Amino acid sequence: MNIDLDASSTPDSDGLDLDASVAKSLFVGRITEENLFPYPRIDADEAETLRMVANSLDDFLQDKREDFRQWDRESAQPEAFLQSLRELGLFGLIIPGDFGGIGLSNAGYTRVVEQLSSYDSSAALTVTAHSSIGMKGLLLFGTDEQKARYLPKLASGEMIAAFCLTESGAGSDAASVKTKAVKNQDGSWTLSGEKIWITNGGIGDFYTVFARTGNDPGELSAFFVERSWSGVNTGAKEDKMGIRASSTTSVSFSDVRVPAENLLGEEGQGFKIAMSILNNGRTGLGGGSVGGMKACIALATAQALERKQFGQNIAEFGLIKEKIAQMAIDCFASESVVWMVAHYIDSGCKDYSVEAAISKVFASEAMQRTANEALQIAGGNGFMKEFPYEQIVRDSRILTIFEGTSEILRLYIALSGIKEAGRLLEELAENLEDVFNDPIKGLGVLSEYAGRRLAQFTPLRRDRMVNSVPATLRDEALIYDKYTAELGRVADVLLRRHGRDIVGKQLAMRRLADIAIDLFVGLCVLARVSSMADGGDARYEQAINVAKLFSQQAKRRMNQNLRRIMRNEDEELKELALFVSSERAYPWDVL
Amino acid sequence: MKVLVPVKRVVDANVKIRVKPDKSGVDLTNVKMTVNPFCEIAIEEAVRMKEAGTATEVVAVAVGVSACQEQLRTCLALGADRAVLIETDVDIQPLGVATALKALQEKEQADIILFGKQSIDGDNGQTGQMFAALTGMPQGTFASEVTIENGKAYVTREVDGGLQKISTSLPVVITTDLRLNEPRYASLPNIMKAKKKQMDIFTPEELGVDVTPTLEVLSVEPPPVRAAGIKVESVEELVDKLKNEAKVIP
Ligand SMILES: Cc1cc2nc3c(=O)[nH]c(=O)nc-3n(C[C@H](O)[C@H](O)[C@H](O)COP(=O)(O)OP(=O)(O)OC[C@H]3O[C@@H](n4cnc5c(N)ncnc54)[C@H](O)[C@@H]3O)c2cc1C
Repeated sequence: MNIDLDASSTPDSDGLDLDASVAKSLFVGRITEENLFPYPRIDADEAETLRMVANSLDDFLQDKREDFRQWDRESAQPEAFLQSLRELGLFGLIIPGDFGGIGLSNAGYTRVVEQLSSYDSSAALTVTAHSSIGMKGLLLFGTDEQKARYLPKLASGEMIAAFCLTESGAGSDAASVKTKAVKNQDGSWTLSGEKIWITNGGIGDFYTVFARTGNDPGELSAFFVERSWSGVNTGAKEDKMGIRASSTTSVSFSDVRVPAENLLGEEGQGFKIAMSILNNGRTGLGGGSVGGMKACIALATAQALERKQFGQNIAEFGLIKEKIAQMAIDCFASESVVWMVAHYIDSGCKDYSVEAAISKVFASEAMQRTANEALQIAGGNGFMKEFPYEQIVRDSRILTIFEGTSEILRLYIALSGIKEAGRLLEELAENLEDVFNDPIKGLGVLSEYAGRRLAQFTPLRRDRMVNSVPATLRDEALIYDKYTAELGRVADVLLRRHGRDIVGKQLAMRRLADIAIDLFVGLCVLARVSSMADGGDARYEQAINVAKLFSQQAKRRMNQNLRRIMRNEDEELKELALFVSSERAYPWDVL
Repeated sequence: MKVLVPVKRVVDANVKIRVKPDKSGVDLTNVKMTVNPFCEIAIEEAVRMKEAGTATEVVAVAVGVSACQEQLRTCLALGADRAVLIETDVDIQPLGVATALKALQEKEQADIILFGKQSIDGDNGQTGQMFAALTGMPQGTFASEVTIENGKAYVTREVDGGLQKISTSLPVVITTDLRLNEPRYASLPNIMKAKKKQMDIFTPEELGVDVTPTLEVLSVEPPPVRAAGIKVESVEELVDKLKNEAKVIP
């Protein structure tokens, strides 16, 4: 993970299988060890650079705390502040040096976003909406000409970017956008429609817009649109619960003429492009969540050590200790998974969308738990606007909603995994016919499948990961070993039982996803701790402790989810929901 | 005109420091380190001199452990042209630093040597003065304003109860006070550019000097924990206690 001055990160593949997806493989009962161990380590040179960047950001942000509070109240982000973000170079984080940026790797970028977010979510969002999604499409899929035309201005922040996908009728169902682009005779396009809730909408100059270009719904194309063009308008700044300083507006297009050279990628590939951008950008939100958690832990530990009740520091009470320990576990686990995903992206892994989705779901939810508990530790003070807690809770609430809701991402995780399991089944079905025509080939497939099922049903294969983890973590390695086999088994069972109808079994899917989340996050934690040097100090010992604690918690959750896949009250539950919804209110009263 | 700026690697001002259990010093493991704030002011002043055309080259120099390279890189990111590290693992003290810097100055022949007035860790406030004494150069300490004109340095010094303006010949030793300027933030592109700037590393032996500490630290103690206060019942009681117990009012 070198930071290269003149180019964006160069993929390095230290033993990684670039075609494999660790998370998808879990659904066929396989742990792709070479993509987990050893845990990626940042090289000394990049570490030094990132420390310098972090220090500079600290210097810059430290004395702005009062401003951030005020800008939250006023829902403002003054131009002078945007200007200082530009001067610091924060809009060029991932743009290659040739175009005036600093070409950070995804991992380096994630770390910088973490630093920003530990001070202010809105400031971080202005930067990430620009880099993670606003101009990411240009970087990933743009032509050389398009890059030369726009990247220098985007790197300097002369142009701020925004990502325009969501519409009033197209939220989670992003493919259903109605904004339309019609091709003109001269090859240019006429764009019309309205996007809503666009981050950086009001301060942006460069919009990556997704519009329907075919007759089929879902046939989208992506375009670069400049705000200065005739027919482009932005609405008023939304009055929001959190991240209030961040600019969120509608952006509308009335018969905007878009030149042919502003089509991004190929016509009709818009939906795929949108998903690729979101996948690649997920570590930004993950890093942001980690930064927020670190800030919460600093606040909560200080508060717990200072506040006295019943003659003691509240830090001495078991119920407070439980919260602080959980915050540390959540933060460590989030950091481990987010950093791993960033490394996959930097290394050139081709299939990381499920891992990225897992990191986003886990880190954003961990951040929300952490924010809530930090507020709880502060007691009444936590509820007062004079203290930072309430703003942190408000600011973090968005994390599980935008860039894919937790629900949608869980379904995505499970569906992708099931698909992987189904692919193997299909191959088997196809090849069964061949068994008679081509016995050798057929036998190969059969024995692979048989071997896999054998592995699944033999709960403990004690050789896995045995050389990669320290002796104290062998039992934990076995947990992941066992439950990976279990996930493979239930995925297989569910697929056989429901076939294509599995898509409609959302509760079962949710449970599969949660098992996969616990497995992948837990494996990242295990790998990270296994790669730490045993300094014989408390930091190392407690890192081992974190790995053990996370693994035990994960085991309990996975066990519960597994059992409930087979035995549950899902139908009764859905019946109740249907009834309450049809009544459109709570249907009982004590009167 | 060349400006030499000695900088020190210190514990960040925002860190709550902890004393090592054996009281031999401050625990530095996993503690955030930065450029001493007064040295940062010195770098800023030197860079402004260069931007104004007064200076042609700004050289940052540190004496200390290998990790000081990080602070030197920060100075390069802030605008210094190149850096020198005089690398040593011994506990560095003002006289040792001044001696090492004197040897470097003989090579560099800088016209202005711009120190911070003190470092926020040891608070010795001696290095600049010792360097001036060793080299026989004039000095303008605690500077709140510096002008270089017609081969002379005009330094406004912050002294008790007022300001003193002095002028000296060059080469000159100047130490910076807090109000001299407000340092800039290192921009990210400049941090990247700093990686390509020259950094030379010498050992004290290579410069022919001895930086062995001359002072022995006997014990480092954390400040005493503040005892809980008391509540008084009335203004009269408060006045009485202030007068007779605390003896802060007559
Ligand atoms: C502050 C803010 C900033 C934003 N910034 C941007 C931006 O920069 N660019 C952009 O394009 N968009 C942006 N968005 C839009 C955001 O991505 C969407 O709000 C999000 O995708 C959810 O869509 P929705 O709000 O329409 O909710 P809906 O899709 O209506 O979902 C409502 C609820 O139903 C659930 N749900 C939906 N479908 C299913 C299903 N199939 N199964 C089970 N549950 C389901 C959801 O999880 C959710 O809980 C932003 C939104 C906000 C609030």
